[in-house]
Amino acid sequence: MNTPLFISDDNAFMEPHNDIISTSLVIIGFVVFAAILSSTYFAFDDNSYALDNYKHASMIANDIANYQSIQGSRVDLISAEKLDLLSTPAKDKEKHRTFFQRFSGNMDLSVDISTNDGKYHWTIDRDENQTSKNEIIAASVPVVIELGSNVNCAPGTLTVSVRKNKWI
Amino acid sequence: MKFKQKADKSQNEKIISFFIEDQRAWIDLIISKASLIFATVIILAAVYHLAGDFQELSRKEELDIATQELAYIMNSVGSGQYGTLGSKKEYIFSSYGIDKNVFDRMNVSVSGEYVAISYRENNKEMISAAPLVYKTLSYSPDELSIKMIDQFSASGNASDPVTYPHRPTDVSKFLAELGTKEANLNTSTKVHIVKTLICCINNTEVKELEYTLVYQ
Repeated sequence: MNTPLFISDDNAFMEPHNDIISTSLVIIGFVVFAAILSSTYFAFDDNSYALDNYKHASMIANDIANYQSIQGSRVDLISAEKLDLLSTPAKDKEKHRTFFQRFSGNMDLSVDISTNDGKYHWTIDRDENQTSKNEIIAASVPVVIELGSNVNCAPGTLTVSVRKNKWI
Repeated sequence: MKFKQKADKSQNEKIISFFIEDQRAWIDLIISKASLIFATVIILAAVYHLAGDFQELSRKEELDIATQELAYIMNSVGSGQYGTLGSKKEYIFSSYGIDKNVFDRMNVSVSGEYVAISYRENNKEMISAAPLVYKTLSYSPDELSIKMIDQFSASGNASDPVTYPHRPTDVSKFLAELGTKEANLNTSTKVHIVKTLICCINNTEVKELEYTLVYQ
């Protein structure tokens, strides 16, 4: 009922303000566009950070799985005995230090190795006093763990977790 | 005096009533058009700025890609086993699709823990850095041997290991100090990346310290 009033009204009382309304609409549209664009960029940046760190974690996991100092009687086996020694640094601090020697100080990492049946689990942490478990990026590789002798082997998983520290 | 004040007052009232009683809405029109021009200027400036920012962002992305690429190659050498094919690689900046004008103006530096690329354009400096996973030294094998001989009287090769009274921790500390030195790489020549072992004899046990060397 009211619509014809606006259409047939010739006083032009809305006329000067049309500009302001249309301009404010353009500004709102532009602000929304800029906000969407920047949020997309930040999401992309976060994802690329995660991807880079995943690449690092995956590279370290593969490296450790083939590392000679934890190898069992065969190249493709990981010795449970050596893992016992490394997971308790108090037993042999020198071995623990050597294990992480080649990694740069930037890398705050820990290695978790467990058998798939959940019976055995080892954690080798670079920083023994690590308490914060926030912002972890992890990568895993399948491994075979030699429990005592090469006839007693169990399939397991080696997981490397890279923690976000003040450097990365 | 009183008469003059009265005259001024009536003059002001006339001016005010002129604006109040005016029905042509020209003030509305001027305010509206002025705001329109003002808003247009702001929007155009914002769009111009955004376009400039995007150009800068894409350049920064390019730098990030170059840095990540170089860091990835260094890390992959670090993760390879000593003596295998993967423990020795070469990197050529021009082969990774970076515009020649860009890589000519790039300043690439490598330290023990970082690889950083900076680029200067229109008096603005952009820096991109990537952390290295493995301990890296910006020395050639020969330079490192000389430094080791100077410090420990042994090159640290398998045939000439560092022996007592120098302990592996002393070697690590010395090499960590060397790692703090930043080396600039020339973007028009090849970068050699190799893995090396520094051998130390601790009592009867041979200890091998792994390092990645970056040199030209």
